[in-house]
Amino acid sequence: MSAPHPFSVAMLLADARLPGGGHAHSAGLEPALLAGMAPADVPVWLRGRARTVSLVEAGTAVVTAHLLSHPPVGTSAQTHLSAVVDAWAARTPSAALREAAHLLGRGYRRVARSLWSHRPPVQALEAWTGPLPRAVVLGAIAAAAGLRSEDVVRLTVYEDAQTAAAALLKLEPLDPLAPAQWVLEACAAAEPHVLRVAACLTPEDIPASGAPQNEGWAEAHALLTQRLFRA
Amino acid sequence: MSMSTATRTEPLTTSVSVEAPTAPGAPVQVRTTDGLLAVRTVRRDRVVAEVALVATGAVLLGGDHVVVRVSVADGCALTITDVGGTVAYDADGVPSLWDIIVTLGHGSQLSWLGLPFVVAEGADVTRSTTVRAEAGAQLALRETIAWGRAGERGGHALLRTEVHDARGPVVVEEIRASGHEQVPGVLGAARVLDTALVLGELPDPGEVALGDLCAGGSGGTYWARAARAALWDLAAGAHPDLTALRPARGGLLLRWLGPAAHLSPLERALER
Repeated sequence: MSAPHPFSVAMLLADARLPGGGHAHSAGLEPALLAGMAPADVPVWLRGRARTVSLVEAGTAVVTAHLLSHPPVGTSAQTHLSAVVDAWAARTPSAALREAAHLLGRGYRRVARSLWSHRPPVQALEAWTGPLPRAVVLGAIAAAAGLRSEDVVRLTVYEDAQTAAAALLKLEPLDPLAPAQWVLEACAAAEPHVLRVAACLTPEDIPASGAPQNEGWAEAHALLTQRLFRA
Repeated sequence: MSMSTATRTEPLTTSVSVEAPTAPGAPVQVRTTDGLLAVRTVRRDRVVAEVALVATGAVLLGGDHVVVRVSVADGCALTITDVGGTVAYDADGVPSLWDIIVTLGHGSQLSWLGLPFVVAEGADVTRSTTVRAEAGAQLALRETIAWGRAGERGGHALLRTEVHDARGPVVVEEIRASGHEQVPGVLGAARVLDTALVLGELPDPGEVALGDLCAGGSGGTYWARAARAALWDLAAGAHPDLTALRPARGGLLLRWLGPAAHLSPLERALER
């Protein structure tokens, strides 16, 4: 059987119809709105995410893919995974956000296991006993399916923005095409950073661009009982 | 005001290093170097030193590169106090750098509850804080960044924090913000980012604190243990806009976003 083109794989991963568990998440939108952010601020907030937290996730996926595709001689895949997971965790000081990423990682691991179980990068995940953030699992899928690093970055930015946009339609009444425009604007805001993030090779290279207000909102949201989304 | 014609470009290093006494019963050794900031040793005894940092002239100007190196040897303790806050002045966009490099030995303690660092209109500051801590090191580090003096929106700042312990990275973070671009999710409408970083868990009430052994007559100097206890207490309470983050590797990152430094709950918790 011939392999699908990496572009087809990217479309599959970006498609909300893929049962990966993303529908339970709002990419920080519900926490932001519940904390009092005005719905009118959503476009600028999305562009801010695209230049900050999305790049941390994207860099984590890129470095994971690189290390699982080109393992230096003498080090095991588990050693690499451990270093990437530590670097990501240090860049994600919010326990609520780490937990949300682990839940998404669990869903993505099921996808990876079903579709690429015979590929060494995905097999490396099987030997890992702890939780893995989504970005690391995405990196393993990217390595298994031959996704280009630039497209891993674009996919991560798009997925984050589109997740928030889809959640917005459930939380606020508005023209459903308006958020689509904002998603594209968020992607455009990240574009100047795409090549830099795609060039990351080691865990130290992963961007650390933080968004403190998002972290505060996520922590407060995790304590609420009345919420539509997990995070 | 233009500073672009007379800029300093060489890094000027201020350093303070606390080392074990040379003889039993002797005080710890304190070695210092003055740069754009000068070090005044306030007092020292068998385990603890206290120093004050004093600006030697107008800092921070465009082109300035301040480096502060702090090193605390195994089992020693250091308290640093800032004598005044710092203003990164209007430099017509000429960049300036402020690097803090901290090295903490096994079981050492550092308390540095800094005064506000103001990013004035027209300043473009890159500020980095790098901490390397060995096992058992305890740290209470407060950094308050304010965008703009009264009536100003404030300049550009890139704040980089990198904390490593003996096992690997604890916190790695880069925050970019400008008084001229409010980004919801990053700082939103806040003008002040107040952060306290704590390494070491909540002190056990029975813990023998190095500072307490010799704090008699200190006038309420905050030793690392007291500061850590106050910050862990603060994290356990509920304060609007205060976020208590727990890095995966342990420790505590307390953060408050607000309109003015004096309104921060960190200010009240650490009141001397």
